[in-house]
Amino acid sequence: MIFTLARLALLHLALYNATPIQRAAEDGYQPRVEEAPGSALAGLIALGPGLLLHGAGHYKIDRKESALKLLLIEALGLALIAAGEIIEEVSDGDGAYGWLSNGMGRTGALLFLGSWGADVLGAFKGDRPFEPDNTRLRSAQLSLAYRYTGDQLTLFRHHMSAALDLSSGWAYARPSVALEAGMNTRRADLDMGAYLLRGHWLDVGGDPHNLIALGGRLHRIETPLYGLGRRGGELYLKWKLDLGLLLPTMRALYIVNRAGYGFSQYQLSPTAGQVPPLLGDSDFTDSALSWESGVELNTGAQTHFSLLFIQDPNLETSPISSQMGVLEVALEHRYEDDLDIEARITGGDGWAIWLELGYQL
Amino acid sequence: MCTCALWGCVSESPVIARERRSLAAQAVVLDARTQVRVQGAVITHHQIGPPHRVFIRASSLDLRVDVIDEGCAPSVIELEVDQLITPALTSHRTFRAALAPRVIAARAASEGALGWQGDVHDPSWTALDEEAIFQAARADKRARWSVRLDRSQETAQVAKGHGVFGVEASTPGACATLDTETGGLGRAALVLRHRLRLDPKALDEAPLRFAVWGNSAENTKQRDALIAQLNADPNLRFLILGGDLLAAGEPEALAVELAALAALNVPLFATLGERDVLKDAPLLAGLGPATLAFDAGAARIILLDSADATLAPDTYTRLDAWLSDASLWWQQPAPPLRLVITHTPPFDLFGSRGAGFKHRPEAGRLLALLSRARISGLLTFHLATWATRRRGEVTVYHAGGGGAPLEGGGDDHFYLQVSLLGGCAPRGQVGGVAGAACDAQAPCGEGLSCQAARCVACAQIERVSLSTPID
Repeated sequence: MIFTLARLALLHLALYNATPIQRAAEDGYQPRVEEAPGSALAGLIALGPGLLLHGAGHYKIDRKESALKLLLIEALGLALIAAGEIIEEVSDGDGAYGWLSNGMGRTGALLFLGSWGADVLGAFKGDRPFEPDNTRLRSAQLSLAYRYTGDQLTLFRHHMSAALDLSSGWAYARPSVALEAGMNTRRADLDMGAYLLRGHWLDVGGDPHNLIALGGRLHRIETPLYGLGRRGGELYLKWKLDLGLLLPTMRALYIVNRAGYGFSQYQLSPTAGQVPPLLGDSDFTDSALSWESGVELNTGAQTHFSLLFIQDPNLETSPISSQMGVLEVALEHRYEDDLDIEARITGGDGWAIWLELGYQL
Repeated sequence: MCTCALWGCVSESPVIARERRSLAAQAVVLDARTQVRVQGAVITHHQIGPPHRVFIRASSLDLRVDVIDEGCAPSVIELEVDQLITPALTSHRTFRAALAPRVIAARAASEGALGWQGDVHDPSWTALDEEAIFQAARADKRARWSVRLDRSQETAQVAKGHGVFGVEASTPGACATLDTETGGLGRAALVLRHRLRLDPKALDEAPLRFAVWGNSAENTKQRDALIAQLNADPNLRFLILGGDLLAAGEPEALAVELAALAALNVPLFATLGERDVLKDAPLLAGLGPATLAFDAGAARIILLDSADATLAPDTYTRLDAWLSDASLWWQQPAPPLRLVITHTPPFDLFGSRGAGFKHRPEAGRLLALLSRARISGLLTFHLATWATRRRGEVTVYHAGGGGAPLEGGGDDHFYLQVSLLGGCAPRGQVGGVAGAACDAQAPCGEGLSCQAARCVACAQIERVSLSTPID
């Protein structure tokens, strides 16, 4: 009884009234649209010549409006890349403008690669949509995970973590803890935020998976082996958008993006094997931008796939470079509505495999 | 080892590959019985003879060169060392690389009660003579000499220059008696150990001064100004390059820069920057190893290869040893100071730009290690600016103003001049702080030296403009 009440309380954290159509949208209802078939030739055109002229593949399958949009996105991406370089040049590499030149360059590169990728994928498969996104809109989930890290720089291999995933229609919170098997490193994180906008708030039949959220993350990471403690936080803005709103061939393929700015305070212990207390003095503070960009889609009714480029200074996996970050591929499968199994692979200079089991409370 | 990413194992991590190559370059096998090993140096190339020729590049002020002969016929090797410090004291000693059974037994039986017998640096070898000074033919920063080893006679000869010794045939059965002699050293190799170091008398002329210059990116005007300024300073001992000597890692550009830097009166040692490693320039032969440590007066100078914005995993193990009081390749007390030089700073001045180490947990790990070691300073050269920051107990110098376009514009390029004062208090000594009065009864604390009755930092690090003449 108490458990049921608690569950109800978690699920209804705020007053939320949805219309039947909106609830149907939450369940994945999508109206039919006119479909155009894809073709292998169009895909190859998008792969080859389309690398320079984005949209060539869509043009081949008679999606001229989409082709033009892709071309414009490509142009915008190139313009942002150039703008980032110009800012770097004009400022003589002044670090104070690093965030701007980095941000513009990265956004431009993502737009460029994204428009090309969308052209290739859409040209091959045509208008047939992907499966509806089955990401839970409201959730109270306890998950346990095992992570194996293959990073030559560290001795840390085996990690266990536990997390609580709480989400209502308008806010979310995700506290988690992770421990290395030998207790050589341990961390605690809290990620929480509020949705500023969800697709079904705007109109009937709108997709609730289209969203904008504002959030914050706090972290505490202790590595006694190195005599190092870190604590910090960041503010971020994240958004998720069905690319099908722009390109009919990309229905139910979502682009996701998160941009954040935060700080970490570093505590250096005079003795290896110890970590200064959580509330102790810090030795110095470092700031950082974080980025996360990629795509999400359902490959099956109950199987969710995501591909992300992540640039996060607090990630344990060593990145390819400061600019490129790490690549993460995740596959999550849902069993009988209350059990999620997720496999995730992260690769950079080091790599990690993550296996997680989540249970809906 | 592979760097495994999502797309599978690709080629070996570049920084690991560079470290592996520089460690492998510390030994060369000339034939089935003869090899040369070095420490505080690398072997850049060799020619198989007879006579064999071995070319060595110094990467310290106190090299060790071992010529090892396991054969029987006399062997002749001609050696050449480049980037040798001046003035250099060169000496050698001959060994059999084993101890006689009676010596082993006597030491074990006495349990240390007997007086020490044997070479302090190689106690498990049998010395055949005393340490002897030899003269090498010197030309600028090069030294050449020849050696002749004859294990059957347990002799080694050293001569100045090349072309001194002829090639001799072996005598049948020459080692038969030697190898089978009861109670003897069996087949133990004959080892001729050389030591080439900065003349200790020069160390008495405090302070020991050197220059550090980085991020020049093939700026010929600043390079030539630097050479002129350093050559005009008779008290300067050596130059360290802090990385990014090259603009795009071109092999041809490296040859041009090295040819110009040959005009320097002093040797140079170097670590690498991200631009140096962009292509396949022969960096090891031209600049020596990028991760190394050597003792210079009151300081142990440590160079770390951070060209890829990370360190090789094994570097942390070596760094641990270098930061401790353990001796390097000669058994002598470690100096009191530690000075670390690397190209990429662990943390950028502007975190949002992220031009420091690519993995910030690693950056924190490195700073925690250096902070515990209470190093005198961490000199970095990636950021084209001049700034200092305190990170824990570490003062980080951002000094990448060697010639590349400066942040914020301007052309006030510079290098660093480091002076190591004598009379430095040993590590762990508690005493007066910087600026405090001092004398024999009130000494200074660690890292400080009593100069004119005041405690001052033993390592004086100054920014010197490339447009400023030396006083």
